[in-house]
Amino acid sequence: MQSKLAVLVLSLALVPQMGAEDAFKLTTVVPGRSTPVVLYVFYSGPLPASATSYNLKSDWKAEWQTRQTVPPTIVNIDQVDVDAANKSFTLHLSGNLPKLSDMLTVSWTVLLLSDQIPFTTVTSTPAHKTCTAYLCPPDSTPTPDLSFSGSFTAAGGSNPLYQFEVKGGLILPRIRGIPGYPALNMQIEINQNPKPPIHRTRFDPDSITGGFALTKYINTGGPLSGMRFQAELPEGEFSRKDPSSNIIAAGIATLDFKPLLSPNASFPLYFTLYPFFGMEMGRNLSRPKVVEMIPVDLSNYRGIVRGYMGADAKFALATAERKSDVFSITGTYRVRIPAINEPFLETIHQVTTFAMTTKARHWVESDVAYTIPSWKYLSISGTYQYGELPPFFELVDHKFTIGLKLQAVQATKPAGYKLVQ
Amino acid sequence: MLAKPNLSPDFCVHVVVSATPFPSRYKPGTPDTTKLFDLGVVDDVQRAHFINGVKSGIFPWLIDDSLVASSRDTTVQASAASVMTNAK
Repeated sequence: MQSKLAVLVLSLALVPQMGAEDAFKLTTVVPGRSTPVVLYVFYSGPLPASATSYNLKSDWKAEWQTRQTVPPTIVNIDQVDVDAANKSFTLHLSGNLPKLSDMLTVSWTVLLLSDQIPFTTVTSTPAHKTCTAYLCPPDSTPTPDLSFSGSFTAAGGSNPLYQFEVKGGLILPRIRGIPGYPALNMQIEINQNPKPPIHRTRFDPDSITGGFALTKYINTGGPLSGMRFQAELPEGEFSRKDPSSNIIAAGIATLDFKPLLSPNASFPLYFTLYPFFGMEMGRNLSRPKVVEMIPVDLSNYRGIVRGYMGADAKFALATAERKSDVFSITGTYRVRIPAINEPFLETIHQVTTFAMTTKARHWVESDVAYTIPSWKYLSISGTYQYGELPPFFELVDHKFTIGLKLQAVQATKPAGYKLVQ
Repeated sequence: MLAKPNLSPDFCVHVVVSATPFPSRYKPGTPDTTKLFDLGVVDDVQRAHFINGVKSGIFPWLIDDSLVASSRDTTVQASAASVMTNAK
């Protein structure tokens, strides 16, 4: 059944295959920046068979204007050069030209009027974004910057159980003199552990982390596209279940390997792997005296030093136009290795034990997602979670969730920067 | 002081292709059909490195990150044109 579903999903994704090659047309015009004055005109599709249909300067017209209401000024075209490798023409201009410094600020229109090919024209227009809101649907950036996912469980003799996860990473404007981009990030897990029957519906944050980060990307070479350095300036780890809270600073380096891509362009599969390593340091701010009805002595729990490493991986199938993913499997692994004893709470077979230990704390999360192509704010997802999250490292024991995820990307951030993985 | 290179289609297509993870996958004569995804710019991480590569490639020209057409469905040609238009 599962394999049939996978085949169906893959088939649906591949229905709109690469179409037939487009006909010849002009696509973009960009003015040159120096003298002699030129216009670069890109085209798409194959060049017409006869060179005389595009290389005669008398077949080309170019004009510029400062505003739509002002009549355009026609300029002379002295020569036409063709660069077939880069699919561009270079038009050498003379006559009534704008000042060199105004070449980019005026609007240019170029026409090719040959009797051997259909009329084609192109106008230079300022770049614009397709979505101008602060939050936009995930489109060409498949990982959302802000996501809110939840599930609802109903059972006889039990109140409803709501479980939620909120992930966010919003990039702020760059601060002069500070390397990298500042950002606010957060991850909130709510009601991860209760199981029906429950007698009171409540919202119980199991783990909240939030803080301020600086991120810097550098290019390297070889098998890596580059490295990422992230300084998480003191951020808080909180839980409402008990009064435990920590304040932590972290330094993380990530190795960004080049992706593995399907060699077949009509089957856009890819795989990415980003391992990271770093350290977390901080101190405990508040300690409970009783946890899960077990009296605990946390008087020595103050300093926090942890090794922190893990990896993010993704295997996905993109749509034919490459804009978004139809289907994806993502995996996240984190391990925190305390250098100083920290609390460790474990409930196995309904028996809870508590220890102060340097035992490694693992966190594994895997998501399978199918995005609804007609409304990309919404995806159907399945999530598996196992492990312990700060501050109190209570075990989330093999938790499966199938649900809907609402997601959005931040439209106003610098291109490419992302905190949420 | 470095002389500013001419922002021609040839130069900018070369810079764009070189900044992708797999420039060797690019076939000359296909800037209008090859998308950045097909050269390895598959996600935001690769996109950020791509933009860094473009900025290094056009130096001493400068360009704002957000003005480099770099989403993974962008063609090499559209990305090169955005560099030619927006570099300062």
